Amino acid sequence: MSFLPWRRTDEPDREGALSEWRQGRDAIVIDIPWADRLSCRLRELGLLPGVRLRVLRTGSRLVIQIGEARLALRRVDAAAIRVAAVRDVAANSAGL
Amino acid sequence: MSRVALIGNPNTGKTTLFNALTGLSQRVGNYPGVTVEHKTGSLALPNGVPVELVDLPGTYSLSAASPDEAIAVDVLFDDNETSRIDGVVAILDASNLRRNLYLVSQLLEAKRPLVIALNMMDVTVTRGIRIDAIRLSSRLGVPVIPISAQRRQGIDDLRVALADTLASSGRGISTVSLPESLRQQVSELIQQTASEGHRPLTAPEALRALVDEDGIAEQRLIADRGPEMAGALQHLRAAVGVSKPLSAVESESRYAWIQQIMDGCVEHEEELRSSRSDQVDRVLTHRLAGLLAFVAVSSLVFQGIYTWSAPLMDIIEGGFASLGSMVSHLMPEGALRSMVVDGVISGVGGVVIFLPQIALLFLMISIMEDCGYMARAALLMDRLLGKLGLSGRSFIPLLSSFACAVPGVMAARTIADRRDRFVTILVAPLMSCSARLPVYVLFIGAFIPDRTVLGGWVGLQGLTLLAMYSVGAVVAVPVALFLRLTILRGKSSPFLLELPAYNWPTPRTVLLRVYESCRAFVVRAGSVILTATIVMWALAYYPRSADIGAQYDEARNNLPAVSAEGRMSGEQRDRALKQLRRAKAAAYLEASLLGQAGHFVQPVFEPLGWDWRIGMATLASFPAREIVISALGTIYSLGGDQDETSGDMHLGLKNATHANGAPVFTIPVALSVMVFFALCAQCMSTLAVIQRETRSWGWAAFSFTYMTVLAYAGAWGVYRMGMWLGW
Repeated sequence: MSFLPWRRTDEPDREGALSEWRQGRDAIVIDIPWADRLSCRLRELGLLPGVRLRVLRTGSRLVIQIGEARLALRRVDAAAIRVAAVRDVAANSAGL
Repeated sequence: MSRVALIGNPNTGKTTLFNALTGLSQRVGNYPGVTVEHKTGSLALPNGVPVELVDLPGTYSLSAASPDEAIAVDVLFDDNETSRIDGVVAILDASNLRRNLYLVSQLLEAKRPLVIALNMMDVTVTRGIRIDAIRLSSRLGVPVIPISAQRRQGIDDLRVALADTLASSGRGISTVSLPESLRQQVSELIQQTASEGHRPLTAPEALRALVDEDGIAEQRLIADRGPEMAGALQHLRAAVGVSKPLSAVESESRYAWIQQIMDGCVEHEEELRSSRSDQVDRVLTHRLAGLLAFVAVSSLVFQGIYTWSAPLMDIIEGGFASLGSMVSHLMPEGALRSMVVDGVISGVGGVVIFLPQIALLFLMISIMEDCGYMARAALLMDRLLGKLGLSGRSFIPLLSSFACAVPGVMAARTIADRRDRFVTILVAPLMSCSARLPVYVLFIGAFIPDRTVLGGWVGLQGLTLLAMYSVGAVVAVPVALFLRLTILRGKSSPFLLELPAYNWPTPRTVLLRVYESCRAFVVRAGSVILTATIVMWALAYYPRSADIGAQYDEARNNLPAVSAEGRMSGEQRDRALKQLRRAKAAAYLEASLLGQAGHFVQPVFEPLGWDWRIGMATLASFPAREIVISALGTIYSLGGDQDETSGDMHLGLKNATHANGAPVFTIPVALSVMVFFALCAQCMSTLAVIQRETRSWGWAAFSFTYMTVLAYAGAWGVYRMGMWLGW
């Protein structure tokens, strides 16, 4: 995924590791680089480049939403997953 | 009879559908070939064809990571003439169709007759999702039946569709287009492995071996065809010639296919939708509030079990007591009456009394699991379990073990990492199972004063119960750490868990589980425990020495008669007679085989403060912990300590005395017995399931040894401490 129209180079915080993403914010998956079991399972669950997710819980254990599913994973495991901000979706519109 | 497998992602309502389809006909059996326990049930199709429905473990895909998922794959691809699956019912969660179709894309490649049950169609409306099931069906080439498992809607349509599919054996169309380079290497692998003496790999199997690095398919292939396969697979993987991991290539192709299938027949909002569950989770998974809620829920469960079950237990206890006295009056005195009253009624009755508590415990665990709370608890516990080298995945097996270690050990199958799984299996029996509950309740009721502490808010008895429940869990911490650092060393495994949406528990699912557990408990009481009780009774009754009888008859005859001069009043005489009867019973017991053996092993139990009777009851309870209750009941009933007519074991225990007249049970002794039973591995069913799940008697023997050593040390420690504190 080299072409992301909403990516702006002047705002580095618009892209980063999933583990650092703020609560309630949506993100677009850029890359899960590894071939380990966890990464494979995440891909099977739909965590693929271009997919939108939301961080519901932060801390040592994250909860993310993909589609209608909520997945819990460790912060250390989420560090390898690169995500980028969704244009125009700053905070959770559902009234956080 | 046709065999049909029910498969689906976790939390799609699979169990509810299984119950709706099979009802009370379900039973636990073994998967043919894999000798692992599973549930099957029979269902009749509209055309009269009988079907055996096999409930497969929930799985997201056919790339098996855990033993549980491997079972699903094995059953699905089993090609054995007798155990072959004739058809598959896949249950999909309509509100999360995209992800659920992933499994479908693989099932279509398995080329088995397939029917899709689209569950939770009732909730899709409120979530702004519209699915054209007819169009979906024509695209997939298999029947797609909208159902609501919870409301039992569409079940009949599903039966009809299944009958049609089995009759026509329609297989559906698989149109996933994996990249040409990947497909080439898959056929290359099939060719390379095609040799005499081996069944050729199917395309799905070859794909799994190629894509899942170090997965179960690869491990099996290496075990089957030799270690050179590892290098061959590496070579083939490189030959695909992509920079991305192969799993990314596969997943992207499948999701592209899913997008094609869904286009124009599924309408849904692109926005991520917040749900009520998210709001609840803001509290229940909060790092502080969530933990407090967890502690509150657990306390409620344990206090509830103890208090709510009391009235029911009184009824059962009263029932057995009147049964005992009725039989006593109806039968002539002798060995047979003794066996029925002292052996069967006081032994088995003592165990059956605990049915209400076991029912309540299973009820609460089932409710927590069914409503979705269990996954949140696992999330909270992952932090703690992670420090022990385990993961939140171990939480559900461990918590289930509080009900019974057998399903707990089996639930560990969902853990993918072998070391994690083994540590979980080894510490699971330390969790305080429902079979220990009778031991605690009996001893707490008899010896722990019924008063409140901590400002009148907490009952001392309930607190002791909580303490007993915690002992095993607390001890499990160093045990797990030790195992993780020694024989099961290795890096900790990742943690990934889906949090299902909260929903009201389905009464049917919950009650069925409670019913099954209660039935298993009663069956056990009627078989293993009854047998052990009768053996115990025989050992404690025979030999019936004529000398002892004659000796006490003489003593009775020598008692002065009630006389007008008042040398002995009628009341005094009654008391003297009663004392003589008890002394006679005690003498018989001492002289019995059990008594002789008991004195022989007494030195072993002496440091724990136990007399030989407790020691023997403990040895007798090797097959199942609950036996200690029936064994003590029989011993004290035969020994004359327990009043035959009231059948009250509390009194029997309280009245038990040493030869010198000092009571056998003091608070330190009672605590020592409880701690021993909290930590010991006296349960054949558990040891057998450990053997089966680890495929080694070595691990079962290890469990038994380490737990017995811990139990003895713990019992000794608490006894010494109690004595020192002067309780």
